[in-house]
Amino acid sequence: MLKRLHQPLFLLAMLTALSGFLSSTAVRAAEPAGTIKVVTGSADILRGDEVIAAAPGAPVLAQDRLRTGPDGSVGITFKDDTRISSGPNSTVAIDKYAFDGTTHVGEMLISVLKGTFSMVSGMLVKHSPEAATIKTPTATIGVRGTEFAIEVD
Amino acid sequence: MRRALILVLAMLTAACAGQRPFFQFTSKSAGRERITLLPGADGKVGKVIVSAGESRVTLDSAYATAEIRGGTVSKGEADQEASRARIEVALAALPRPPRKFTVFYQLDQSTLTPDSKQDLEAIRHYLANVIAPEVVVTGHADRLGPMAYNDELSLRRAKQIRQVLVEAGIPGDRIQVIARGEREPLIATPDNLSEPHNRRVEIKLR
Repeated sequence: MLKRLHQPLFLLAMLTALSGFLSSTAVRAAEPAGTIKVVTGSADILRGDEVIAAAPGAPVLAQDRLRTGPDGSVGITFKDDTRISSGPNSTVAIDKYAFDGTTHVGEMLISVLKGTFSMVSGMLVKHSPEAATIKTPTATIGVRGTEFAIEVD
Repeated sequence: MRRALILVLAMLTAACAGQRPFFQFTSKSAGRERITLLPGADGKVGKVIVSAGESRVTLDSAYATAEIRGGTVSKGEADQEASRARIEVALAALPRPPRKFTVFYQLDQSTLTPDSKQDLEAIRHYLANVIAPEVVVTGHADRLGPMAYNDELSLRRAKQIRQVLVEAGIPGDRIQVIARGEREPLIATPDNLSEPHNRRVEIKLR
């Protein structure tokens, strides 16, 4: 008797947990990490299978990639005031981004896959100097502050 | 059955092992990478730590450069003009730094002081010309009167500024309104004291 009761309850609990997990990841994915402020030439946001033309005011989400053409550049301001930009023929991936506006706790992981990139760190790094990491194809950069540039030939 | 499984596993392992040198080869031949530390707008220079494999370089002076070749990082030659030229287009695309403005109010009112009325006109004009603005408007009050009253007063002040900005053309969904009441004074005072500097709204533009 107990066993019979146990099974559907267990299933129900699993389903509830699963739906909770799915909706929480959906909410997290939808929350913008930053906003595109500057665009010149051709620049796209790659989101999953989607290719969205970058335009000032467009939100940038964690896991987006930013790709510029031969005449392109793009500039983004994140929620913590961190600013990044990339020049022509560049691909940059926003692998991780989280920032709590109240506690200033969070993390940032960006991969510069190709081209040129510059960054001015913001509140995130000011609060926790270990929170921001930039990766290139072969190196890892720990950002203690404030302004720097990367070139990947 | 069991033998077949072992065979499949062995094949998979071989396939993985076979692929590994291939990946290493492509990452090593990925060309040159260069990291340059830049002085900030205020002239201050920060610090970045660059590591590749076992090698590690700390950059902490203006235009200090790290170069990665063949999976090893070393300090590069600093040529200010050359590095500026290479990253010029990227640097030009950096958004402007966030800015903060403050306006002040008359005692127990959501009426601006004459000076701040003028300031707000200039702020409004500036914000109206910013591309893709995001604004946080935070209202404050001094410690005269009860806490709840000051919450309401500071909210009224912030909402009024929001209205001014919406009329200036900033989309309402890009303006966040926060009321801090008497919790965040610019100048600390005992309770129930009036202080002109604390009767204010801060407008933060990102």
